[in-house]
Amino acid sequence: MKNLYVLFFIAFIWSCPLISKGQDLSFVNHTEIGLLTGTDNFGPRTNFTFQTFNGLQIHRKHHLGFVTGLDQYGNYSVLPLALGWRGVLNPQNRWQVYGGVDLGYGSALLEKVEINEWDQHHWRKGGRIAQGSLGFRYKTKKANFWTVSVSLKQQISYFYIGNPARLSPDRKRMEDWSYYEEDKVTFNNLVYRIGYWF
Amino acid sequence: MKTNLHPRFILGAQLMLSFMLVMVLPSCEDQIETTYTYQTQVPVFIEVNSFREADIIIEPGIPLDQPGKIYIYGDYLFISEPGKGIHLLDNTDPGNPQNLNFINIPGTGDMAINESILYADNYVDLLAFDISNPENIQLVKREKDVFPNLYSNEETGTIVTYKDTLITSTESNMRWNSWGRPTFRTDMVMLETAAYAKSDGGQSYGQGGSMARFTLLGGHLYTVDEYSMRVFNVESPMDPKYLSDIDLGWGIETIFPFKGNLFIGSMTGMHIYDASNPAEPKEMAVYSHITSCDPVVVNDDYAFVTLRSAAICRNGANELHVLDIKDLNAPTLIQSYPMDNPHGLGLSGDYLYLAEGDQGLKSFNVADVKEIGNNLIEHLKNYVFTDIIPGPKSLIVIGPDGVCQFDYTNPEQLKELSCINVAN
Repeated sequence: MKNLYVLFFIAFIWSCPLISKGQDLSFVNHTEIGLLTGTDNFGPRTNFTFQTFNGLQIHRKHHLGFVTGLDQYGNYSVLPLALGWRGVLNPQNRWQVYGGVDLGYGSALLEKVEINEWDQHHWRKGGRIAQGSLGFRYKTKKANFWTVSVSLKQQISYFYIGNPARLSPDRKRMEDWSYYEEDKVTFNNLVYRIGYWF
Repeated sequence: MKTNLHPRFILGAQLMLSFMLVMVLPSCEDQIETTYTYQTQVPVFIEVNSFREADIIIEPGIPLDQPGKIYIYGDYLFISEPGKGIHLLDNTDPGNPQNLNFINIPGTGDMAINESILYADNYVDLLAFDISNPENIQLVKREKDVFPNLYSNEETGTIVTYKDTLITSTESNMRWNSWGRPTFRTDMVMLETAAYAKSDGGQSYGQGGSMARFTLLGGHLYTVDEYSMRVFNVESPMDPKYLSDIDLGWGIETIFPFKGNLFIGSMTGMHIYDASNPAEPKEMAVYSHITSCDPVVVNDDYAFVTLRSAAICRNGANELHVLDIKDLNAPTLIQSYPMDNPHGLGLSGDYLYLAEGDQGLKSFNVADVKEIGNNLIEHLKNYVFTDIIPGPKSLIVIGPDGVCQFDYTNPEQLKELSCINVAN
């Protein structure tokens, strides 16, 4: 986990245009909004997603960078922190086909521990994110792009319920809880997005 | 057919369409895997002979693991490790207590000290140790079969104890409050106290917290368990003798001696017993309140009772009750004050110290018992405390994370002297 953060940090620094001095590498931003669709216990669900890719064009067809944003599953918010790759198949055309892969961690940083009146604790923890995308991008006059894409996104999260067995229990120590329930939830999403790339 | 699309574009489009089909066809269904972990207590059967024959071993000091109760005697501090034994610390300098010995007593729960004799339970037996020389602690007496409620079969000499065990399962019938889930009752082990016993009857007693379940008064040792109080004659300290057993109802938690009377805190109220004949305490009054957990401390005129709403305490209120006990036969409620999570308490002159669980430690001036709510002096929040002893040299406070001592020579401003933390 710690290594992952270090990796993100390096990628973030590396993808920041002011810090990277390699003049051949141009900065790329690709920001999208869209819908996460899937099926949960209660039937089909549709959730909001926002993501932004910041990176460098390392080759005519390849871009590497750092992905962050927000995935909102009902009242549960995930902050993705991922490394991303974007590849463009035919950069010479006006309509271009591109693909992308993002791997990283979806953080439940925005979530709080809730303690109910029966002293039952509820909390959430993030987990692995993996995403593969395919899309079209349309070149505008300024050599920027509009994009539409479809992705398959898998996002793991952990939901916990604990009844403490002692005062100030440690959420990592099972002995501190008389009852400890872990729900490992794997969100499998088909994602539709529109975005802008420059 | 002629087309002006780039062939690679067509290839790409085809690839993308087929990829989309692969993605769309299997429905995107979320997966949930649930694991249920709970603590339960697994019964362990022990033959009485096995622990009676085993030597009680005095080990060199070991770090605290799960501190239960505190007791002070002279310059020594005793910290119990429920089920395992008792730590003995040299507390000559409260700023730097020295870990001396660990008395290994399986199945122990509580302790009391009288004339350099330490009493502790060892499953069904009561043990007496001579601690006059802490370097050379001696077991001087084993009073057998005085806590018979642990027996599962008294004839064969088998006792049953319960061992904390973590069980993990992915079976959905293990969900909390599902039918068929084994019960757990580990919270019971957390019941503790704060009180203080002044020297009386010519004997020098140590001082336990308000959550003590062993206490000494008038040459007698009183022990309370869930349902009853047992009386031992300890006028000859080396030779405790079991006298009798008094039924108290249910949910008995703490016992506090004061001026010839015993104040017993239970989940339903406070019992007052007249112990002027120490061998046969008589019930004088019962103050009943809503069901809750509650240690008690008293001074000449008032009793201070805390009520706490932990799940195990049947969800009462979180309150401090002040009772007028000038007439011990008819205690009356003067005032109740809302608190956060009150556990043990300690009284020193006009100052009341209250362990607020994970809300730390509060001190109040209680000179005017009708204005306690407005007389909060300090609230130390960065601690987790369950019990307090206002000792002669320091205010000693215990919690699941360890034992801390405060200088309270200025009662308005506590100063941390030392903290002994648990090992993990």
